Amino acid sequence: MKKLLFIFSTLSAGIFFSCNREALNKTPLNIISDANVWNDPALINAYLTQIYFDMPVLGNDCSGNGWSGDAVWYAFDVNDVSDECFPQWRDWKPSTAYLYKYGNLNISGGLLDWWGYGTVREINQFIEHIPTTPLTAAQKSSMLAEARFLRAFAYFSMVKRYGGIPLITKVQNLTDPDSTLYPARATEQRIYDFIISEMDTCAAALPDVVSADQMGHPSKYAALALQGRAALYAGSIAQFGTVQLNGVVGIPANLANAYYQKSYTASQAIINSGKYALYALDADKTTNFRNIFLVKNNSEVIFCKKHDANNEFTGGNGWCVDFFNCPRPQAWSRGLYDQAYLELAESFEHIDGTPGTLDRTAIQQGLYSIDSIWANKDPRFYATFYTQGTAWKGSTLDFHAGLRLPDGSIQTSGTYNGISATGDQDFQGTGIGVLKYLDESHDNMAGANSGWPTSAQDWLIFRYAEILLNDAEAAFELGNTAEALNAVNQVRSRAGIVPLTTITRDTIHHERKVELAFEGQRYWDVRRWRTATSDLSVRWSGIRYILDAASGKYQIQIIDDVDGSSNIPQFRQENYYLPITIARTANNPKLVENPGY
Amino acid sequence: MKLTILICFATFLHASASSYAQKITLNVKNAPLDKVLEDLSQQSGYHFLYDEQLLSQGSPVTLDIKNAPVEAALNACFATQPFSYVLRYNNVILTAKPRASSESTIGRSVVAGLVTDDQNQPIAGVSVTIKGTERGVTTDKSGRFSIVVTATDTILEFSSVSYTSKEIRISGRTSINVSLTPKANSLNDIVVVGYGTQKKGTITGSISSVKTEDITAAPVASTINSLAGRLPGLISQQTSGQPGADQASISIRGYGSAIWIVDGVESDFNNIDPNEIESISILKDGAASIYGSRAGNGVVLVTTKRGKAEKPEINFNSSYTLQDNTYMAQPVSSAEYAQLENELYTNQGKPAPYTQDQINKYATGTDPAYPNTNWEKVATKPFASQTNQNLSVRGGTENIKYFGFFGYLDQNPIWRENGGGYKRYNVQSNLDARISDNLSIQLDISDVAEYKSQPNRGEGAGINTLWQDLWNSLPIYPSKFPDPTYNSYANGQGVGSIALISNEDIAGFDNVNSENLKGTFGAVYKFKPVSGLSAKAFINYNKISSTEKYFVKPYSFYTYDYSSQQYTLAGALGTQAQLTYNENSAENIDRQFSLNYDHSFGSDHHVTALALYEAIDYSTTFLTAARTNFLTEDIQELYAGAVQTSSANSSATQMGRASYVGRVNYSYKNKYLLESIFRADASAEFPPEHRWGYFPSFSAGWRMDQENFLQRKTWVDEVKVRASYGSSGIDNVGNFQYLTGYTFGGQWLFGTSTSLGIASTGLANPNLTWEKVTIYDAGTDFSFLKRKIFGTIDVFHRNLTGIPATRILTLPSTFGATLPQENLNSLSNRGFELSLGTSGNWGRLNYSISANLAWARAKWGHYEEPVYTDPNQKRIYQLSGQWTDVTFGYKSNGVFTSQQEIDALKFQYPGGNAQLKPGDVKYADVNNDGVLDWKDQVKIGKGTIPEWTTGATITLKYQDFDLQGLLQGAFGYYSNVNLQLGGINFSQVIYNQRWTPETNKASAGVPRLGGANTNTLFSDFYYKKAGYLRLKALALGYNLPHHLLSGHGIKNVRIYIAGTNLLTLNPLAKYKLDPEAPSGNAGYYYPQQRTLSAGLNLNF
Repeated sequence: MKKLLFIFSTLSAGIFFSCNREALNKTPLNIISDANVWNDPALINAYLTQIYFDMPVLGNDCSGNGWSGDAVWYAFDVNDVSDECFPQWRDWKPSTAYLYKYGNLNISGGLLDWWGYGTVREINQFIEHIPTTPLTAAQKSSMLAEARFLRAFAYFSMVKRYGGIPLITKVQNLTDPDSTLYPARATEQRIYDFIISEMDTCAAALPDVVSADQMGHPSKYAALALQGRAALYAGSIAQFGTVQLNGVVGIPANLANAYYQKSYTASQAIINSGKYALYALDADKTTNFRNIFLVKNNSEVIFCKKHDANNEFTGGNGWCVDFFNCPRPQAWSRGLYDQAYLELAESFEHIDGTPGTLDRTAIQQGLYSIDSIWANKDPRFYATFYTQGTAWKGSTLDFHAGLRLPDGSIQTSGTYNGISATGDQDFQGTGIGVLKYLDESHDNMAGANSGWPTSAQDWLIFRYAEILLNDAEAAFELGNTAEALNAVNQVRSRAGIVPLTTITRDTIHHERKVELAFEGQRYWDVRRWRTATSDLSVRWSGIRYILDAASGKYQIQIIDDVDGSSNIPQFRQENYYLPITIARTANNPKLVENPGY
Repeated sequence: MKLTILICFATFLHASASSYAQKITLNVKNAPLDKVLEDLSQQSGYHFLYDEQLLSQGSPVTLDIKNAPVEAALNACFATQPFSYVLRYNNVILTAKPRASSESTIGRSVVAGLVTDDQNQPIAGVSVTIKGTERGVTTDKSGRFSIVVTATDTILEFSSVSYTSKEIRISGRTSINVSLTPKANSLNDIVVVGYGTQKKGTITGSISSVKTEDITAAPVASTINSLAGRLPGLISQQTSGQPGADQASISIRGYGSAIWIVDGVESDFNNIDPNEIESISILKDGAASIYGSRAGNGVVLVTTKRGKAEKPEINFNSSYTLQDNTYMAQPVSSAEYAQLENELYTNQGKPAPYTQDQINKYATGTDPAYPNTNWEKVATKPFASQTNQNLSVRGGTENIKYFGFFGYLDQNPIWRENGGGYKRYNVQSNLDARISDNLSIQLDISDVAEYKSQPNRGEGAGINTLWQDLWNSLPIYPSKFPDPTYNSYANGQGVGSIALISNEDIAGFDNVNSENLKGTFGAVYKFKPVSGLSAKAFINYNKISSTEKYFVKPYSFYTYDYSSQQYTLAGALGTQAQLTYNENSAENIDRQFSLNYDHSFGSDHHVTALALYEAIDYSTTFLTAARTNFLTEDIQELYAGAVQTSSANSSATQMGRASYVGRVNYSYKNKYLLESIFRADASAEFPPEHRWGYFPSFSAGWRMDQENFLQRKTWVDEVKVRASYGSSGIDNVGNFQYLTGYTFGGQWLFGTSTSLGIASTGLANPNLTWEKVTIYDAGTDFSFLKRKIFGTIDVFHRNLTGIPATRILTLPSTFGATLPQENLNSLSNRGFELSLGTSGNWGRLNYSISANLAWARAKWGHYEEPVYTDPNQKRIYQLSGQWTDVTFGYKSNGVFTSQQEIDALKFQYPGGNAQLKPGDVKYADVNNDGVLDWKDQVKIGKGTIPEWTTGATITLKYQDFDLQGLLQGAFGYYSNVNLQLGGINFSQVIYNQRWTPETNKASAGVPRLGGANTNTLFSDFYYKKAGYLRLKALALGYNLPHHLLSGHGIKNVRIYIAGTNLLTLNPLAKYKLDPEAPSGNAGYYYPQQRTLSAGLNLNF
């Protein structure tokens, strides 16, 4: 009896007194403390790495974040909303940004949205902490410059979307005065000036050359390239845009030349450095042009987002271009996500410089061989698109959408004399796929490569051809047509098409459209030139190849309104700037909404 | 026949000669026969051999003998028994008396008597039957009965719906008076409350409870699904029928997810077999405060069965169930598909893909190149089976009581071939032992093993699931080819067809095997010197572990050309298999130490008190490993994958809580009841200075029926009014937010090597603490006219403050950091519950009917949001001060039926009016500003959670038949019935309800296919009012007559048929949509199941 009581009491007392401290003395098991980070070079590097990761805009202006950046369709959004192409996974309508193309961009935003103040804060934090770290002075200086480069890149990504935005260069604290915490939008000019002046500083501190094992970090010339592109944008906005909201959007016209001059100087510095050259290692011009995007670290690459073939979803660095854009067969019977408009394909001239436009009436009558339809095009055409008859993995692609029988009727299913009525590609879209950036050796059907983000091609953020075209455009606007003509012709010669003899604003714009197609440039270009309202509000077309069973030639059908008759592409005046959106303006009255929303 | 040998070991060794002369002394009064035999055996050293069945027919013994010879004692003992004995050496063998030659020779006699309740009031309508026969009578208005018996009729059975049945041995008497104790829902019923039990009559809080017999009426896999409609104030929505994942979401009064306490410990509840459960109580008001920081959303208490000091009772239940979909839209035929595709293309200005000739061929179906495949029928079965078996043993003596349970469930999915399924084993052993007069212990062990398997695409709701694959399989492809080794392609958007992807043997599987092991040790010590004082120590260990095996197999699919007899590869899903293993484990250790005090001071004052200390440790670990590029898909273990593709990862968490609890109940003259609770809780996830939360609660009750002015009124059974105030908290507000730091984040490639990034966990908030809850509740419980009318009414109001939210008002988005959560938002819930019932007898029919109705709604107090200045933003977006379940959208008015109608529009659609054609949705420019935009959104309905819930149970008993029915309903909610989420095939519903130029109906349920983008604007076109009343469960049982069973050792045999979801009144039926379907996922989720079961209960 006494014994039982004793046992019971001991047991209870044990439970009672041991628990409290034990139960409450718990810590989270996966956190690295703040103090550790700034004392450990490895963790400081990791912090910087995270900044890159938090800038999906480095991968073709992706609006997703983290793993949902260029691992998925965001990688193509900016191309899809331009006049280059549209996405053709038709059952995926709701998940793609292209709906916005048809007049649905409103105050709720959603298109290409990137409000990068989280990243800006992260960078400001880094900049403020770097002086206190145990790094060497040289390390501190180059890391600071790198962080400032990324911050300028972030601001450039935002200013081209929204116009003037709050300029925040210090870490904000909860205790800061309201005037700091509730910033007004700076003028668009102020943001461009900030980017341009920051790049002066960064160019001085960043290394001339980035070694191969550090590729992906910016060099001095990456800073100059950013400066050149930003100044060019500022120049054209000043020249073609209107100042509204007291300069929050728009830049005074009288500043145009100063910006063009700044851009020109930056491009000249890169050109004259002699460190870069147009890629020209392959004799075949088509192969050569394709290899610009496939050969790693070639002479044309100034700054890029590196990729490897490991699935990004599982810790690798691949992206999704091959999975999305390749021809069939493909792991999900998909591929052909982006399909180019016929108009873009026509923009590519013939090799002799004559326009590439099809005679739409003539071409729809009679029978043609593929060679005769797409004969003598600019070699960049064959390197940028694939369509009926394009060679691919030892075979040719088959887009034919029907079979023309001897009686003239068209069969669309089954077979006729052993010939299938339709090809194995997606013949219901535009009929033209996007070859640029595709790696023919990538097998989407096999093992580890069959995941989405497994493409290893580096994404070229700045390449030398763009610098030449920037140079040409700035020189032209400054009146230096000789320099402009020279720069454009360098690009054309490398491409393998006859040089121009005269230069106009239109030919410069046209050359950009062709050379830089599907590189995320076109949408921003037509915006800054203020030509988007006419260039993008167009019903586009596609092509159908009907195979003539007897001759093996093709009857051509042009599909007008390939987007669908209800879906009329529209770029409205207000769309020159994306909406700030209600969510952001509502909690800061000083953040005025862009005009027209 | 079960034989028992009663041996007294103490005397056995020297028994034979010496003990024969033993004299017996025995003085017992009405002692059970088996006790007396035990005594005799001990004193005599004789062994007794008997059939237990026979012995159970024996009657109590009254003897007073001193120093009598053994044989005399035996004779005296067996004189009144229905059996005799034989003496062989020192063995006593019991034998049945020779049976009387015929009944007619035995005299008949009449037994009469009175049946009363525990307050000596007569009960009418009690059925009195002779056990083992079908003969019986019922009591009259004054509770009297009389029945003719023969000498062989030994036992009378008294039964009634509202009272516990009783069996009385006649033993030659002609007058028998019986007192019955009332059953469930009555005052002496024991109700489980926090850390203890109370009599229902003395409860002052708002508590509802159900008993095992209610939740086991119809076999269901998930216990939760048997609760809907039975407990007023419990809001339940079953949004899936997936085996192993079909449990309804439950919330008490719409508060949010409640905590489940199983046998005193926070537990996962869903996988417990309903047959293990004794009772379930829900604590809805301040009564829940005893669980402090975890109790803010109410508490559900589950108690499993325990042993009883009775003869062992063995129960065996077995049932077989067939399940089919309640509602599921059917796909269109191939001809209809071709027709719809033509419409879609034509509407988009494109050439129609099918000729009329082709459509005709699809329709006639004679040409094999033009098949018509219903993939839903190909891939799914009309009925899926489910079997349940369980066996339990319950019994014990005063010193040792035991309950043992073993259950097995096997539930098949609707997929026709190898579609996985759900298996479950439940084992439970509850032991109570009295070690001494002062000390008793309990030792409980339970284990639930679950095996859940599904095709690896998953069966959840939404896109990228089997449901999308189902709607992506087109009827224009054949399901089989002449050569069956080729898989048929049906588009399926990359997966081939639903028949392939839903087959685990072809596409791979997702297996989750989990185990929930629980062990409890408890000890209660009674302090003899202080009457009513006891101490209890309690420790529970719980480990939940699961292993997930996710295996993906590659496969290819083909098309076939009938004219050329050629197979063409249409695509493939991968080329090599891959496998991922995920190991999860969670461990909780819960320790409680308490002092209990229960004492009456004089006759008027009764006090019970509880002081308790509790500490809980939680920890979890996670480990994953994977490989791809398998050498062969036949080996389904990691070693068969390519080494260079290996990957692994792990993580862990820990947490802890400590609490002090006090409760005092005081009643004066059993009339005035007071309860006060105080709990202090600390959680490790908050900073030390904000760790403790204090939660008091008070409640009072007045039993008016105990007052003199009512006590004399015979029509009053019970009238009680009660009121409570309670405070509690919710600590599920994010882990360790007071600490800041970094976790490993993303990665980036520099050169050729991957660098890892570290991401900030965000700003810390050292002030984050509990959400605080206060609940006011007032209610009444009443019963009149011997439970002809009884019921409960409750009204409540709850305030929830300190809901964590991110402060956005003070800091704009340019601040750049994830702002820490703060205790900012507040919410208030209000509502009422009403339950009414009646019970009694109508002739020999016993009935009990009760119905309940509840209403609950919540309103935001403060909701952290921008200060909207635009009146439209304020109207549409502002939540502060608004009901939580208001939905905004565009106002529609059917579809356009003519171009004139469009031309006459006085406003512009987004994207312009040029895109509009007849058949597009017609919206209203509500504010008449000439533009259709976000400002035109108005309230188009309530939320998707029901505001009104109702239920009714009906229990009928007629002789050997019993019937239980449960009606359940919910109203005041909406559902998004958008019928095409993204699949490329169409449903019959779309076919029948779509707009076409021919029908040109403004009221078409589906706008023209491929119409304007604006057709998908969120509007009342698709957001429809829902509500339903359904026959949730119905069970009809038949108890085999006892005379068929006697002599087989079987006490009772009941066979039954039962069903769930048998009938539904449903406004969404026209969309082929279950009313509980997840809003916005029409056709894209595992449909709710209707079940039909046949079962057998055996009782030994």
